[in-house]
Amino acid sequence: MGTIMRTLALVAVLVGGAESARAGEIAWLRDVAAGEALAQSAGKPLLLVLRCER
Amino acid sequence: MAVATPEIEALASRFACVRVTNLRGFDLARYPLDFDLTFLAVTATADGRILHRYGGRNGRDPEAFLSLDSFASFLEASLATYRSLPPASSAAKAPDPRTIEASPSFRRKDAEKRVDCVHCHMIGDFRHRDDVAAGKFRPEQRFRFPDLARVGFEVERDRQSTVAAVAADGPAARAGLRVGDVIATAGGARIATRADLQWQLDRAPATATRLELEVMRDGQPATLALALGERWKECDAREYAWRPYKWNLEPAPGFGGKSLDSAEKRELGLPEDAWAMRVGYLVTWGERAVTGQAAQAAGLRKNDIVLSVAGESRFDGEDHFQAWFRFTQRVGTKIELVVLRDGRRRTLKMEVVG
Repeated sequence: MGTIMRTLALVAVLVGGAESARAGEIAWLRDVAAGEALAQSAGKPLLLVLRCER
Repeated sequence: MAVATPEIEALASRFACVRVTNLRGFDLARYPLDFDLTFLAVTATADGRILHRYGGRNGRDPEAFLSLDSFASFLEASLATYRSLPPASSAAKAPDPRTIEASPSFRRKDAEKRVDCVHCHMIGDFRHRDDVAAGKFRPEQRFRFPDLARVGFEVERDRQSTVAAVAADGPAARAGLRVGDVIATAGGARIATRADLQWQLDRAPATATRLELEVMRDGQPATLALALGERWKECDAREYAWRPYKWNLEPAPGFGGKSLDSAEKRELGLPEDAWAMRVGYLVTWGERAVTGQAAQAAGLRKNDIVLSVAGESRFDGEDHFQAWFRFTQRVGTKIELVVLRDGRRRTLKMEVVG
């Protein structure tokens, strides 16, 4: 459990709002296709973040 | 909830950000990743060209390769690579989408009971079952995403293209790689992170005999060729133990449980530095019921204290034991389990089944 908690803490700092979709100023999407569409229309690259509690 | 640092927040704002929480519908062909993950990030163009990868872990520490500095560097490098890429060619064809829903074993499971949330490690599970069912599984498939230790070097945690250590007499040392070298490319692909390097090692076939690195040393470019030996991708069970994928491999012991802590061992009169495991379960259900039944037939019971298996007792914990058993034991052989029950040692003879 200790290991998982430490990982979650660092990940939360790494990507911040990715965990809540509200924190910070980044609008984190949950759908890859929507992200690809946004990347296309905004002329931005795509950032995908995956986390597993292991 | 902690938020990202201002630097990471500012960098991330230049991306279309997606937190992937379910791999249903995830395009596995477009985004080939190491799905035995704790934390992984990948950057790509809108049309699916991968820029860089970030994350990964080892058995000692799920955060071994993560840091705020390296994550910021990964984002910066991704932006730089993105700017340098030519526009997508209309002639370039993206790989056909392939989602887990195309997997026969997934479809069977989903039909039995809907799998609402597909976790990362489940991708490996379903693919493994498909390969075994199709007679396509080859033992070397176990060794996906080789660690850098396989080619004899390590990079810095914060600056992940900078060489931090070179193992004496390993492939990297023999090729002349030095601490402080900055890796620009591996196998011709741009490198910004440790995960980029692991991806290049994964892409190289097990039969590859060399891996070319372009490095910057004291401001000068240099090209090095690492000579890869036979079975260069393979690691031992201890290094492999953390991977959830190990549970797919056969033969399985059919039992497992928690290792005893020092106090428990003292209480039982066992040496504190020796491994001992209390049997918490026998796998007498499901697809692998035959394995637990073999352990049961040998006389193993729940709560027995296992002291050695086939003469081996140097295990770090259950993950290591489970990986070791699958790597070293052969179906059809008989092995001895030394167990402690009611204060008495017993030797049980168990057939390895699969």
